[in-house]
Amino acid sequence: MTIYDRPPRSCRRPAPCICLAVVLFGSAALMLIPQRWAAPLQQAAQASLRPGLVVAAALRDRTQRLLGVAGNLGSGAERAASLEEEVRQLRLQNDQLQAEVAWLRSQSNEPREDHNVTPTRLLVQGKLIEARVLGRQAQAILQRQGLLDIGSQRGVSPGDLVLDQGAAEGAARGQLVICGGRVWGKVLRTGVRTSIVERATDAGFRDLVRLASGPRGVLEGTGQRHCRLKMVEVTQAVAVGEPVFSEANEGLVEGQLLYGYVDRIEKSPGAAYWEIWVRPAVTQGLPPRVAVLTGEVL
Amino acid sequence: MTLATRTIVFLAWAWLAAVFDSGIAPLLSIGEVAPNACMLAALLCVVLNAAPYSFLGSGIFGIAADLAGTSRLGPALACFTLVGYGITRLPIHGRPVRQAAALVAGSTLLAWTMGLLQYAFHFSAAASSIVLKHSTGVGFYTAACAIALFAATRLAQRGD
Repeated sequence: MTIYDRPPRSCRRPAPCICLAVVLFGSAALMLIPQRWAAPLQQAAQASLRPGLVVAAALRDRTQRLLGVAGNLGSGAERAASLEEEVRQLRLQNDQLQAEVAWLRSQSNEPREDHNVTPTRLLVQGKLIEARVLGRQAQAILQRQGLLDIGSQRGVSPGDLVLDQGAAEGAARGQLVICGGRVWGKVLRTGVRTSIVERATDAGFRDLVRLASGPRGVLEGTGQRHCRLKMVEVTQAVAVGEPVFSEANEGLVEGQLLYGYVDRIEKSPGAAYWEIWVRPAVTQGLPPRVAVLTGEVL
Repeated sequence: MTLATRTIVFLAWAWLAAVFDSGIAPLLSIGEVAPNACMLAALLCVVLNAAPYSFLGSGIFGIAADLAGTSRLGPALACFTLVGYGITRLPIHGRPVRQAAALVAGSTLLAWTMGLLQYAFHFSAAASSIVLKHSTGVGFYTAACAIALFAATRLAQRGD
């Protein structure tokens, strides 16, 4: 029997519904894979996207530049005015940077290269007011003495965290409350002798923060154990474990005040910003002693 | 085109869609919502292709979406394949209005199912209202982009 005499071999494809069942079974199996096994695969896939992302970034920059040039066409006078303004701003920045360099040199122990530069005087200096968190008993004593008005319109409500320092000592709304170099929260309201603290994890809390790698975002309290960091674009690199610092203390204290660490990073499909969950650095429920960061004009 | 060549072409498209999602889609965002290129490509793949196995192509875009994300692997693969299969069973081919309606329904359904899966299996820690709002936004935005691309494809085909 030659091959021409044999009946044609049947080449059957599985039915579409069988293919669907196989794919769904495969996806269910993938969902059960532990995240520690899936993460290297995802990292490898994301690394493979890198050349494309570099090209996309270059295209984006070029398009923005072209749009800028197109926007300035036919408005020579406006362009000249904007350039002059830019030059003025850059000169101003230059002067500020020179002053900053001079001040830094005055602070450092290295020998000065330029003896003609005199260090600039500080305008505002950070000042810490030590405070204690009042427990229920302490609040009750103060209430009896008429120093706390619990239940009135802008007074203290049950469950509020009350500090024993208020406006008389310089505390004001929005000032950072620090515990061992880490930010615990902010002053929400002040009385004459007392003030109320809003913790970073409390719902409604918001502050401008910066990740250690540079991107800025808005830290929000969720009312749960973790805070949420918003407005960090997905084009920015963020790593789990990265520290999150406060931006509010700039110009008041040297060094950085830690809010917490990046605990989890998520990206919803089609989202423009990362969903970042931050583990607060202050893990104590009620630290016995804290400090309110204020400033004084020198 | 052989199966191998077709798979390579789909993988290349999936890579491009993933690059678009990470690098360019954020620039097109309205609020916190940006179009999802993988979803869009998967839907166009099944709507423009009348073959009964075209849903497997949408599954490739699903794998790309899973790998480009940060949550668990699998949900996008399952959702894309299931919705793609549903669309291939509908009598829409050669009927542009039905195809456009399938694009809108498919993208909204895909966005919602993926949001629901993320919420139900705790892949996302966001509140349910936020997930729902975001999914609806992504679905409609992607549908709008898909319809624009579909119309452009139809016009180009008519020009030929």
